[in-house]
Amino acid sequence: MINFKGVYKYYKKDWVALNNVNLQIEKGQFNYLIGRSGAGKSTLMKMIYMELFPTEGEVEVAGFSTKTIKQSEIPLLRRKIGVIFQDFKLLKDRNVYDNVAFALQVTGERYSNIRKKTLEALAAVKMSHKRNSFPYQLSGGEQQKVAIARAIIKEPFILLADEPTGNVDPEGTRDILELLFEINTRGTAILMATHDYSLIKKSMGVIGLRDGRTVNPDDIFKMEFGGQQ
Amino acid sequence: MIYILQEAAKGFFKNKSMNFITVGIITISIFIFGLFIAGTANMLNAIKLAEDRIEMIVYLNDSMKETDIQALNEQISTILGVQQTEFVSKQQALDDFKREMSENSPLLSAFESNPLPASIKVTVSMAYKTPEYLKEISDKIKLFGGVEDIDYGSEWIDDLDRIIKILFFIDIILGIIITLSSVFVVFNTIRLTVYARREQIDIMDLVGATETYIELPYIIEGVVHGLFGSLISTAILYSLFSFIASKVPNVIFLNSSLVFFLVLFGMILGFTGSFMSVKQCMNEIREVKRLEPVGKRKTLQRSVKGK
Repeated sequence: MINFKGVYKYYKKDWVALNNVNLQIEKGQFNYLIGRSGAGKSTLMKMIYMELFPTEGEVEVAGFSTKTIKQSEIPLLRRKIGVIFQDFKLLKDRNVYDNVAFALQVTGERYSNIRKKTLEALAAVKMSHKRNSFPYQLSGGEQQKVAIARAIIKEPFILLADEPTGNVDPEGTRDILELLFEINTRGTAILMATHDYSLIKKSMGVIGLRDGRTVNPDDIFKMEFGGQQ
Repeated sequence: MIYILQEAAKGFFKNKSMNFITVGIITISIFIFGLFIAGTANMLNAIKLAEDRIEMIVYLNDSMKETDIQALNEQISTILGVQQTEFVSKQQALDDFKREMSENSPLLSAFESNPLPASIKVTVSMAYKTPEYLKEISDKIKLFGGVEDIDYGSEWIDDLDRIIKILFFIDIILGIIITLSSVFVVFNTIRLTVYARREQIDIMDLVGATETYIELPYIIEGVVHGLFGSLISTAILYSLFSFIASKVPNVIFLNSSLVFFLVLFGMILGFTGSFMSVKQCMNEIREVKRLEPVGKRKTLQRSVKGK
């Protein structure tokens, strides 16, 4: 489904963001992507939705390859991928309903389907009751739930969550994680980047990144906590 | 398509102050451009009026017989560039003179006989009213017998020709400067409206909107801005020229095709400005994401948060 083959990414000559990354993510998996800030987590995620391209190597996602994809095909790939960020990226001048419906409106979904799908997505994240609120009226956790609703409305095969709880209080963090697990049980793969290791559930997969290289996650835990998980 | 039109309409009615500024700046730009076009049209009209007055008078020898005059008249008519000829007899010339000078002019009573010569008034085609052609026609006529003198105001025609050339040169330079500055100002103004919504463009790009979906609402909005701006400026120009025309004779306003051109120019300005702006904005968003060292940015955010 997602395949990184010998991927290198240089921002500048002396700035190696990814260094010979080889990894595979299969359908329906839940993976954490851990590492310190600057380890290459966001770069790796951006390569999945082809915001960034490798300097060397190849990334294959749902049949598209970074080597052969055309600019006009990138929107088609992105419709199969959901992405959420630490800063939510909601439109401040639109209410919750419009923010979620936006993802369908701009991709040419039939008008009659938009209302039904939007309400379903809002129900899935338990935000139906706040559909008329504006982002500034919501807590961080609620805003992230709206962002999740927008990301899953197109029924993506994977949801990329880049530090999704970075701006959320502990209670909200718990809700977001539960929501991500729930989405995963319905068959959507999740790749969640975080540097908050307390959020990691042992039964899920963990991909460790250090200085742009994939490493054994235990090495990262050892470095950070002296071996205590 | 419904979404695209909705977004264009929303964009137009939502950001009222920004739209007001954009339409205002397009209005001013097109007003200046229209002023230039109307000025050029009036300049061309003035040149045409001056050129209409150019005529050639062939003064005839008093000794010429009627048959010779008729033959000469026919010969002149065959010259390339001659549109029309009209014989003016000595008596007719005197009558015209009297009419112009008033009947009891003491100047006329000084002469016992009619001092004015008979003549042939030669109307030259518009395309041949240049100093070179007029001289050429005059030289050809001089070769015919019975011609006493030819007058076509050669000195002032040379001056007029020189003035027309200078005016055209200034007009073209001015036209280029005004057009380029209009494009520049309008492009930058529209760019501000597009950049104000770069967050929306970013999200559209992220959720898989095609470039057409991202660009079209902005382009439609730009064209509508251009249309409103040009209509307002045309209305102002029309009022201005109507006022001037009531005070100054021979002032003309733009004709319908020039008004159409002005409105079209406004819409093209709006289209090009918004198209270039949204393309540039998308490219910049993508460039920033591609070049920004992500780790460095996050480290900075964390250190700020840590404080």
